Formats: sequence, structure tokens, C-alpha cells
Amino acid sequence: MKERAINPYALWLSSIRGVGNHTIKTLLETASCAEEVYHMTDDEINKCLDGKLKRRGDAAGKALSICFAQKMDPVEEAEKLRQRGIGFVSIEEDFFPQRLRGIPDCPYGIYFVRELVPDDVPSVAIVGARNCSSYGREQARVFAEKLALNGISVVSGMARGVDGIAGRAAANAGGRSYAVLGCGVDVVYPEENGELYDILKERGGLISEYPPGTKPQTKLFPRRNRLISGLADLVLVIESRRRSGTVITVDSALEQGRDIFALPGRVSDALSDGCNFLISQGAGIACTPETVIEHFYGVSENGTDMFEQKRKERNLRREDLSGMEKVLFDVLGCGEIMEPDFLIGRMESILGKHVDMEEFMACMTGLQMKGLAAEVGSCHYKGIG
Amino acid sequence: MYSSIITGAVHGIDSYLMRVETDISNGLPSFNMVGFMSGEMREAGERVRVALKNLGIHMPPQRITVNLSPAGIPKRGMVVDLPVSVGLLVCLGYIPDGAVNNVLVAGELGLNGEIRPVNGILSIVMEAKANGISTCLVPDGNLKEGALVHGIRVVGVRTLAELVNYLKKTPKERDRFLPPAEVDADQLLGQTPNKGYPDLSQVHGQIQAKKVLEIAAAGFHNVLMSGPPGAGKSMLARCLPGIMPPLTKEEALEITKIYSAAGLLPEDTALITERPFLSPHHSVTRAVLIGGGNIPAPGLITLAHLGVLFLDEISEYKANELNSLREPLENQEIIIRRLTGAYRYPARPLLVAAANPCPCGYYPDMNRCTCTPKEVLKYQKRISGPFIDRIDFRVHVGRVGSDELQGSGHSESSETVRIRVMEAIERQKRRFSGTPFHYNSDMTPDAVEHFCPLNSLLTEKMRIVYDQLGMSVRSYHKCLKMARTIADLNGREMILERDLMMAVGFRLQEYNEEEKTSGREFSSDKKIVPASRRHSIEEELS
Repeated sequence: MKERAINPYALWLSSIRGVGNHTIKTLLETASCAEEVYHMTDDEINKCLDGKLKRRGDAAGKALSICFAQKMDPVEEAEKLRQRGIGFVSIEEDFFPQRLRGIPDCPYGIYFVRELVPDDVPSVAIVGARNCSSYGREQARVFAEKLALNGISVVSGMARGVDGIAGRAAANAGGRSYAVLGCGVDVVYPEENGELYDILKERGGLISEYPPGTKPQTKLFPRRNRLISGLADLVLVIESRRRSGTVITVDSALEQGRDIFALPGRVSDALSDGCNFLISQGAGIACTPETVIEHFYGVSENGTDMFEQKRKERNLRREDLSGMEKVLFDVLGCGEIMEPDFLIGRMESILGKHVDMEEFMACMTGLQMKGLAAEVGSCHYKGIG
Repeated sequence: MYSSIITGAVHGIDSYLMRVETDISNGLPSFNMVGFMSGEMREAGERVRVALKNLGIHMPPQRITVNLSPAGIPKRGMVVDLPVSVGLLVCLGYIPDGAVNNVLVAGELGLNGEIRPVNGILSIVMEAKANGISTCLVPDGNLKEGALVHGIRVVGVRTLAELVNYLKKTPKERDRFLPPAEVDADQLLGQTPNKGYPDLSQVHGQIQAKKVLEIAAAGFHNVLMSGPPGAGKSMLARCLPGIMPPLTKEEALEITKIYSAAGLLPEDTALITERPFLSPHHSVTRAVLIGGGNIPAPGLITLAHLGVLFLDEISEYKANELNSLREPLENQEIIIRRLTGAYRYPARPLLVAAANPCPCGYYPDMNRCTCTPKEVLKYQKRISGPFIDRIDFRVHVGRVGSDELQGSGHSESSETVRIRVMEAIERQKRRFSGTPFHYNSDMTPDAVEHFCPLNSLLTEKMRIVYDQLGMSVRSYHKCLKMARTIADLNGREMILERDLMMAVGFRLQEYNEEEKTSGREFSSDKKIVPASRRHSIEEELS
């Protein structure tokens, strides 16, 4: 992406501490652009704001901080930011993300590293629980990978759990992956996603409405969520409890008129409660990544029955297994975590004979080495595929 | 007037012979004891003086000097009370000079002349026999353990008067007066009473965990059990001694020697016939765990030698304590060095550890677990990696289903399992005859190559496993040793694919990056965020 010049006055305006979106919007009702605000006097600013802010008396304070900030040299600040590899775009520029322009409470300016979510490419936000299950982890990866490979941008929050996994999977698949942060774009949070931060810096994009250096704060994250949904055409919920940050994202997505898709889960799983509820409320059902892809590109010719194809793939992988491994593979199914005692019991009832622990472990190891099963925790197993 | 009496002292769990030299000469009346001894040993002088007085013998008002040789080793204990008094009696002419030739004397003295038991008699008698001593006079309370040693006359004495009478007699009369005792270790081991261990059949379900314990017992492999609270981890561990093979004579003697030296052998017990089972509290200190003190006492790891050391709630142990177990677990012994010398203690316990998988205990059951991935990771990280690396089997002890709990389902008794274990041990004994190894887990890397041959197909399989998982060499060898034991349990000299794959299955977890790091699905080399980036803004502002 070619570098675009930063509008220094817009940057200046949005970086003033204590002056938020609302104040800026009010100012720009009178002034035509940020540069004009820069040259306004204390009295003029006061006049613009007076009576228009939520609390009376705020105007004087805001005017004071703006005048104080006028001592800064916007051009120099912009140059500093550019040198650090951080971009800035305000709503005044034409390359401001079109998707955001329409949303309620649109930020005046946003900071980004590398690039912004392109307007001309479909974009999906993948969100979900931080404390996700093995199932959620697996599906987040599969969906993000498939979507990215089909040229769809993946927007997430780089949080623990679903967000981070989806962002990473999309980037690793070679697709477009963006993260909207609840802190400055130069701050790594959470720390364990430092590696993902590096990947996105190199190959994806990092976006935030908060000035560089802003530390992560609890109150910033719910506001960040409106940008995640705002930057996407469709929000895909992987796993969510009934009350969670994910619900906030979904709420703002509905407010912004975005489509919602949810990954169905078992009704007994607390972590799928949110998703199942969304489906019952009319959200799209994301059974396979193809369902979501078809939403953008229409029904593909050969992908009429995704389940059929999935079954075929599974059968193909099953071919190479030994007799005993086949039984275990069938018993394991896909995704659900099971304990060895239970699995052996099922195998015995299918085979009608005693199954040794050795035989079981040998089969299990075989499946794991072939990548068809995985150990979760200690000696719990799940099928993959 | 000079006399010299032979006695013994414990050093580590072994003993050395010590000479008690007594001299009475003219000069200001005094009683001096020299020879690098501790306070309680120096008090022997006072005990001896009173005991002799109560026997009707008064100490002469002369200069009495007692020297313990070799004088360079620090000594402690009450073992010299008796030799000091015998030395004095020889000097004073109450006992003929030649009566104490080739006789070892050891014991504590009461003020009334009663002889009380002391620590380490078994190893002292062993040492005496090795040095060609003909008679050992030991406290009656220690007679049974001393009598385990054959080919040497071991006599128990109750009082100082009895001892004097014994020594005054001619060798022929002596045996009639106090006949030497002999205890047959094999016979004691033969009568195996019920040890009070829970039986394996009392544990419902847990097929996998039971199998792992069986393999562990057969090859002396270390086990880590994890699972939710109340699933039966401790119960399973307590079953373990019941499925381990009975002690052999050599093993029983070695354990008895340790307990005797530590003063933990119950009075009137000849031999420890059961495998020890120790389960310390997690607040235990390092000195207690591996042994310590000025003159080091054996630690729990030594007291559990050839038995079970059960570390419950292992994630609650302090890292220092656990890490101190690393070398002894590898070397099967612990050497504690002090300025005055090194003390060697054998340390070959079967280590069984138990832990919850996360703070609430239910991970990976996401419907019940309330911990965040970070908490789970943090909790699991509490057990140090190198320590985990020394564990062979990691097994989950899950919640038992109601049908398993209430159903009568066939469950093997400890005795049935033990028979299989003993067969496997028999097989190992034959294989390792002429080598220093006893169990499969003892094997050194070159022994592994020799005793765990793989056919070309399995070699290829193992190569793939090794490469695909990026295994450590230690892990690779552990797999082979574990497979060796599994094959032994199945009565096979050849290691088959299923044996090997089962062993590998238990080691896959440590290579399972996904679970260990939760959110970090795709691992790469870079994992740590440079500190510079974390708060870069602060630096720029300043």
C-alpha cells in the first residue's frame, strides 16, 4: 500500500488529551476542518462548544486544553509518527474506511500500522470467547483459514482465545488479517500474543482509535468492539457465553446493520449458549466456512453439499488406517473431548471383544501421529478433521 | 593402665569401626573425652560414672582420658556409653584384659546400668563381620536386627552387670550363659502379613491409570497423575506398594540398614519386610526431602528407597524443593557433602506425583472449569519442566462414571496384578544378570540399545516419531525403556509395535504445544515480547 501523507492538523486534533469524538464533532460543526480549529482562539472555541456538550462548564476546560495543545507543532508530530511506522487517517480524508463512515459514534481519526481494511474486499469479523474450548479453538482456526484463502479479510481483536487464533490462522494462511486494538497500536496486549503482533505488523494490519502509547484499559475494550464490527461486512461468532464482550460486539454489529453468523454448539455447553441464542434469534448458521463464503460470492458450483464433501474427505483419510484405528477413529468423532476409559468401553461394544490398554494406546498414538487426533490436557483425546 | 575396646559408628548408612582407648594415670582427678564428638556423646562420661557407681564400682580419683579413634570424623550418638564403661572396667581390672579381644561392644547406658538400644546396629554388625570380629555385644533391644547378619556371634545384653559377667566367663561358658542369636531374613520375608494397603479392586474404573501403575511397578517408572479433586489419585497411589513385588532379601536388608541408621527401626523389629510408602506434606523443606543437618540425616527420598515416594499436590511444592530431587532421581543416590566429609545415601524411590490440572481442578472439562487459559498455564508451569522430564508416565485420573462406581464390574485384585508384575521382574532379573541394573528404568543409554532391540520397521517408526515430535534424547530412551517394561509385562522378549506405540502415547503430551499454550496455536521460535516494545511510549516521553 502506498504511503499517504498524514493530515497533521487532524492528527493534532485527535491526539489532544480530554478532547474526544463528541467535542471534535461539535467543533467541526462550526469550523470546516482541523486546521481551522488549530488557528482558533480560546474565545472562539469556547463559543463553538458552549452549551453543546453534555455537561455545562466543560467547554471552558476543553478550550483551555485545545489552546494549550496549540503550542505543539502538528507537522513535527506527524513526522515523528511517520518515522515510527504508524499511519493516521481522519474522517476528513477520502481513504478513511468507508464502512466506518456510516456507523453511529464513528471515530474522528484512527491510527494504524501497515494498512487499513480495504474497502473493496469482503471483510468478516471473527469474534468469540477468550476462554474458549478446544472446539472453539479448532473452528476459529478452520474458519479463519478458509475465509482468508478465499480472499476475505479477517478482522479480529487480537484478544486471547478465539480472536487471536483467528487472526493468526488468517495471517498464516497468507490472507488479509487485521486486528483492532483497545490500546495504542504500538502496545502489545495481551503479552502472549506478541508473536501475532509481529506477524500482523509484517503481513497484516493493526488498527486503533486510541493514540499510540495508550495503555490497555478495561473501559476501552467495549468501545473497541464497535470498530471490529464496523470494519466488517459480517460478524462471525465462534463461541460465546450469554453475557460477554462478544455480545457487545454483536449488539454494535446489529446497530450498524451488519450480518451476524454464529457457529452452532451443543445446547449443554455454556460456551455455546451465546451462539445458540443468536441462531434462535435469526442469526446465520455457520456450519462450514463455505456457508460464510457463499454469503459473499453466491453458491459455488461444486460446493452444493458441503457436508457431503466433508464426509468424503473424512472417509478418504479413514482409508489408510488399520482396522482397530478405524474403530477408534469412528468412536472419537470430531471435536469432543473424551477420556480413555470411555473410548475403550465404546470400542469394546463395537468390536464385541476385550480391548487392551496397549492396543488402545497404540491406536491412539497412531491417530495422533497421523494428525487425526490430539491429546487435550493429560490423557484426554479429541478427533480432528 | 590402658585399654582399647572396639565399637562401631554410623557414617551415612554404612559404618566404620571405632576404637575407644581408655587410660588411667596419676594426676589431678579428671575425666576427659577427646575425639571430635558431639555434646550428647561427650555426656557418656557422666552416665558411665553413675552407672558404675550403682554397680558398686567407684571411679578412682585419677586422671582418666578416653580417646575415640579415628579422631578426624565427627561422631554423634550414644553408642560409646557401653565401650567406655567396658574400657574403664578393663583398666580397673574388673574384666580380664584378654576378654575383649576381637569383641565389638555398642550400646547406650542408663544410670541404673540398664543397656538401651542405639541406631545403626545392623550396619555396625555388618562392618564388624567384614573386619573379622568374632563377637558383637549389642543392646538386647537391637538384638534382632543385629542377628540378621550370619557368620558372626551376636549377643544381646540387658544390663551392665550381665555384660561384665559375660566377659568374665571363658568362651565356652559364654555361649551357655547368653547364646548368640540368629534371625533368618528369608523366613521373615516369607510370612507376609496383609500390609493394610488398599486393594486395587477397591478402586472403581480408572482402567488407564491402573494399567500405568502396573507398568510403573514392573519397571520402577515414575508417574504423574493429574485429575480433578476426589477422583482417586491418592487412593491409587496407596495401592501401589500392594502391586509391587515383595522385597528380596538384599532389598530388605538395605532398607533396614537405612531405617536402623536413621533410628527409625521400631524396637524388636528385625527386618523391614514391606516397601516403604511415604507421603510428605507439600510444605516439606529441602533438608527433610533429600537429607540434611550438620551430620546429615537421611531424607525422605532415602527413607522411601525401593518403596514409594508419593508427592501429593505437587504443584503446591516450592520449585526449589522439587528441583533438589532432580539429581538424586537421576543418580539413584544422594551425596551430601560437609566440610568433614561426604555422606552417601541410596535414593531409589518410585516417585508418584499427583496434581490438579488447574486451580479449580476440572480442566479440560470446559463446562466445569472456571479458570482462564492463563491461569491453567500458570498452574501447570508451577511444576518445573526439567522435573516433569524425569517423569515417565503422565496419566489422567478422571471422574468416575456412576455406572462404574455402583456397578460390580470386574476389577482385578492387587494380587492378580502383582503376579504379572513379578513375572515381568523375573524377566528383567534374567536379562540383567551380570549387569548393575535391576529394573528397566535403570538402564543407561547404551544398555537401552543393547536390551531394547527394535526391528527395522520399528526403528523407522521411532525415527519418524523422533523427528516429527522433535523429541529429546532422554525422552527417546525413556520411550524405549517404557516399551521394554510393557513387553515384559506381556511376556515378550521382542518389543512389538503396540508396546512401543503405547509408550510413545504417554509421552506425546509434552510435545502438544497447542494445549500447553492455549491461545498460542502456532508456535514458533519467537515467544517473548521484547521489553522495549511493551512500553516504548514511556521511553519516548522521558
